Amino acid sequence: MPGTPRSLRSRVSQGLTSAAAVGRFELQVCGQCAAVQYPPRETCVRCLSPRLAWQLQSGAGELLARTVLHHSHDPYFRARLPWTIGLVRLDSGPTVLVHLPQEAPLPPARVWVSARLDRSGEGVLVASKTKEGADLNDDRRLRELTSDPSDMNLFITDGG
Amino acid sequence: MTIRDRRGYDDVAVTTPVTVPYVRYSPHGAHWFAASALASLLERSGLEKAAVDGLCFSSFTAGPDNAVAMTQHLGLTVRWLDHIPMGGVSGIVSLRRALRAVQSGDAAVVACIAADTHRIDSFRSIVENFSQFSRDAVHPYGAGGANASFALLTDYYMRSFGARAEDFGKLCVAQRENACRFPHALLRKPLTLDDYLGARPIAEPLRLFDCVMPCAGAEAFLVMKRRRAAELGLAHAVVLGATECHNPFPDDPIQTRGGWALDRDELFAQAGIARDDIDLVQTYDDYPVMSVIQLEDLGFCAKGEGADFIRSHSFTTDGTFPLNTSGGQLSAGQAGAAGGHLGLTEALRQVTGAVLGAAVPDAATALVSGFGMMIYDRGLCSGAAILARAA
Repeated sequence: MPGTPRSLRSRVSQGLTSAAAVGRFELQVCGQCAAVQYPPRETCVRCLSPRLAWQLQSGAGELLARTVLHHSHDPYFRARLPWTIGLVRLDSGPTVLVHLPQEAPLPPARVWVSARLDRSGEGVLVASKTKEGADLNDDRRLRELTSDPSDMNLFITDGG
Repeated sequence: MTIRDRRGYDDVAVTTPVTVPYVRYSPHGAHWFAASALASLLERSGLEKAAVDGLCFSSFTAGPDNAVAMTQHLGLTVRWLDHIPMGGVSGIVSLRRALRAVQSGDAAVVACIAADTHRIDSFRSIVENFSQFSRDAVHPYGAGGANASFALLTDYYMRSFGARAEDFGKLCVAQRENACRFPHALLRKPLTLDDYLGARPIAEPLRLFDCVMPCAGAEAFLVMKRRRAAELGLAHAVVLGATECHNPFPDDPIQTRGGWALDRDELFAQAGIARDDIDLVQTYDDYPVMSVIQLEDLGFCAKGEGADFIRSHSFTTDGTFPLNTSGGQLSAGQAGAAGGHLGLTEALRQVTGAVLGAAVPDAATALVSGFGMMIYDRGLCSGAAILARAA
């Protein structure tokens, strides 16, 4: 089974990954006009200021649409179809594409978005029907994608 | 909304529609298809290569080459050159650029060519490298490509406006009926609504026949002064109006409309005709939901009433509201950027009485719509042109 999804991320997107690595969902916020933006950009989409800071987000939003993929261009996902994704309008403004658990509610629905690291070590967004995200841990594909160790058998050596 | 007072295109002709027959896969490069298109343009117009002094080029698969490289590949010396990397709207935009270049005298004869090849795995490469936003915020989410993005828009449209799979299916079935009479269509096996509904899911709610088939091919046409076209004895059309718009409605949470909703009044004002005067329409049909959105935004029905509109027309060449009369991309195939030109070449054939398939009776006026470039969560480019048989 193919390992990691291929990654060609931009340098400017690395803030999402850095925050996800410590369990935080952060987006770029403009230091001049306070606009929250996504996907990551070099400058503010509204006022063009380069003063952007990655800031913690609540993740609350509305699931607008979802699809279940039965085809993928990436071997990682192709080996794990069907795969569910959705579009979420965050209360803070941006629309984000997210991974969804297979048991996700149908839109429209309130959801909470958080950031995890995927198997390629990059930050990805996932949406849950609860703030705590318990349903994410019930979904085997998402647990595998985000390397969640709960309920896994781990073999640890000293690597010597 | 203010309608700009825009100069017309009365003295310029659009002529010599060319389709280089599509194939599912090809060992040839995009350059081969571009050269075939140019050779056909010259043969059918009777022009020497040296008479072409302008080139407008579109392709997804010519890389690393662009329009500049194409002049050396094709042995063309031009005084006016444009590269239009705009996919589904490239035909409309090329047309607009070429019309003004010829009108102003900056070029005498512009060849507008869209050419793409299709190899095993070339489509995956396009999807993976489509945009920075796609690399950062779309592709990592299942890598479903355009199918995934349009599945989301289709899902939202169906929930919001009550459209059913059967409605989209009717469009696909009607276009297949048109394709059955068009020699260049790759998909000519008759399609029933049951076939459509029973097809395998690709990205729910999209099924197989909601998705275009990537292929190789080319589309092309010439733009020159009407006097020149008449001297050459070329059947031609004039453009009554043409608009383009990029990144409309950035604050919409999800796409249910495109730039046509901003531009339609200007389009019809420039054209000086009404919707009832249009004999046929070519929408950019990468997915049926986009055809519906275009029909709504262009004012043929109100927003959200697309499904009712579908239920009240047949869309075949011999029926009511003839639409995508060569089968559209859904049945002809999507030859990359040529998919953004096939509506134009087919409309040109229809209004000049030079059809390859079935003619829409007494077709004198056609509306062609383009749409493209889903950089992140929505298609950013839209455009439309109204063509009329030259009097």
